[in-house]
Amino acid sequence: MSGALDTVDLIVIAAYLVGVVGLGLWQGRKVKTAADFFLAGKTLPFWAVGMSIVVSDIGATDFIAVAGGTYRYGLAQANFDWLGSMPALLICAFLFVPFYWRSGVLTIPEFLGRRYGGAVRTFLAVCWGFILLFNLGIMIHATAVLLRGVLGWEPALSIWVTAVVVGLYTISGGLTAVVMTDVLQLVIMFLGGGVLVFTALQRVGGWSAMKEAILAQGPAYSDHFSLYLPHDSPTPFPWSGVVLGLGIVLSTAYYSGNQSVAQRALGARSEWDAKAGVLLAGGLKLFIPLLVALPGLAAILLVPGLENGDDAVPSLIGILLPAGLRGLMFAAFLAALMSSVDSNLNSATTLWTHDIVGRLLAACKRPIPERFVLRVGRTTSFLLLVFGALLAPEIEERFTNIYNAIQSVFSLIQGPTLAILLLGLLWPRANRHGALAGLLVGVGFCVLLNTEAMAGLFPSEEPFLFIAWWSFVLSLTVTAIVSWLTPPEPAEKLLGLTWGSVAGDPRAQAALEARARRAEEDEE
Amino acid sequence: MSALRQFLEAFFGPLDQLLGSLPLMTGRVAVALLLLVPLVWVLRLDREFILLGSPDRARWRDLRLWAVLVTLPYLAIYLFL
Repeated sequence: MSGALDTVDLIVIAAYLVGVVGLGLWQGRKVKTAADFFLAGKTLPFWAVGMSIVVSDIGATDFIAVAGGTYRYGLAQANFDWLGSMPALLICAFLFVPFYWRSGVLTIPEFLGRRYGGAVRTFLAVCWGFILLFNLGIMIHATAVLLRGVLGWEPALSIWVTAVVVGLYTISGGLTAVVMTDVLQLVIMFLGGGVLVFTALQRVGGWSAMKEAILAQGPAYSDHFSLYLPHDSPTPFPWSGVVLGLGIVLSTAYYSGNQSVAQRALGARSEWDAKAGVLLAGGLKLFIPLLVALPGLAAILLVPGLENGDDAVPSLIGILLPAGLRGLMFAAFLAALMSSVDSNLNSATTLWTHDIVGRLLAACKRPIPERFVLRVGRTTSFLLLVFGALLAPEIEERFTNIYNAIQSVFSLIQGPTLAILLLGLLWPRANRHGALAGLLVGVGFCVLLNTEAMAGLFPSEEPFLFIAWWSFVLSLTVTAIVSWLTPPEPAEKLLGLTWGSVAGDPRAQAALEARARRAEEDEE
Repeated sequence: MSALRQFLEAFFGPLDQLLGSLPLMTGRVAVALLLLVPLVWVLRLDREFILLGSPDRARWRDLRLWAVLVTLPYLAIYLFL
């Protein structure tokens, strides 16, 4: 942000920080058990679920990098929020959420473990555990970059201030604190982002005048208002990649196979609230490109010739917003970033505590009291935050583009996870051998396609959309073939874990509840 | 590694050419189908399944209605923008 902050801006930012931390700590007083900490005691109303899903998804990746991408490539960048949300949220609400909600699980690896056995659960838990930790480092790094840019703080100071502020309410308040602060953060984000969009559009003479002026700048801008770019476009968003990689695989995998989304649905007070919350998120996501992509377009006219598109929004804030509103915009940035850090931390904590540390403790065959689980959760949360903060400077050295770093990491595991999730729910013949083979081959294929030796295999300069699609297809094929060649799972084991049995069979529901009770007893 | 790359090029090359030869309109049709097919599936779901866990049977709680309201603006954006 090139404009310096005035005293009034600092007051706005301080009020925001005190408000968020205060709200988080106040929510934290309700946490008495592990269920309160990890699933908000299953009390979340649909509006909190929906708002939290949206704000958790918006962070470093959006306000700065999406506007930067729009500045460089045009409106096609908005596909990540539009086609990246629908139809995935419909499928998530009506296909996946009922399974997660009724089966009484805490994490997605746990659900897949019930369907496919312990090896799949362990593999996915370890993969997701490290991906979430890596993602946490990226988020903390992004927040630190912002603090350094605006306040001129040293990188190390910025990183540890972020970690302490987020850690205060996330470790004490668990999911309730995270979701309720997310609600406040979404409001701040819409307010701050809305002010910038309104001011920028006013300055360029409205949408039509802006479109006309940008298109008049020459052939380099002729595709800037198109959501569909040619297949051989060197940008990261050719239409084929957007449809296959984003619309079918990455978006569905993100909303249906991502711990932070599933956990909010699992914390809902009823199955209806869980489904309604996911649909509400779909409605709110409609507005996100208006907040994060439109400023990128306006910046083409207001701050032309930027070498790095990621400087577009900070430059706009410097020239457009007066004192006070700059503080509000900075608070909106912080809200977007902090909500991603806290959500990621909470999900990583749940996964590490439940699927890794908890299972190691259970292997010792000693009874684990409820209060001890809560203490393990908080300790894990603290340790993950420290590791994430230590990882953040490393990320700065290795990645120049934060957004693509996140996409690359996610694309390694999302295609294969979606393949075995879909087959597991929709095809009773899929079994543990097929799922494990599909996962291993799919992830291995992703890693292979990301190596230097495979560079240039796809037309796009950043081919993560194609990699996600082909790893999904390969995992699907391998899972199906190996499942056919190996013995099927016993029918009674599948009761309540496949679509045909969960959509309305009372016996399936009884089996699910019995299985959830058994799992709880085993853990106790 | 180079043999593997050659194999993958032989596999992806023709697909790449095929996708490159399709008009941009194909993308518009594909996105419209991506949005419409799941919506039609949701509309065909049983009302009891949709309302499970709902505290009452009020009309506004029918999530199939929500699905239509949420999906239509996306469809409009991808068909007309």
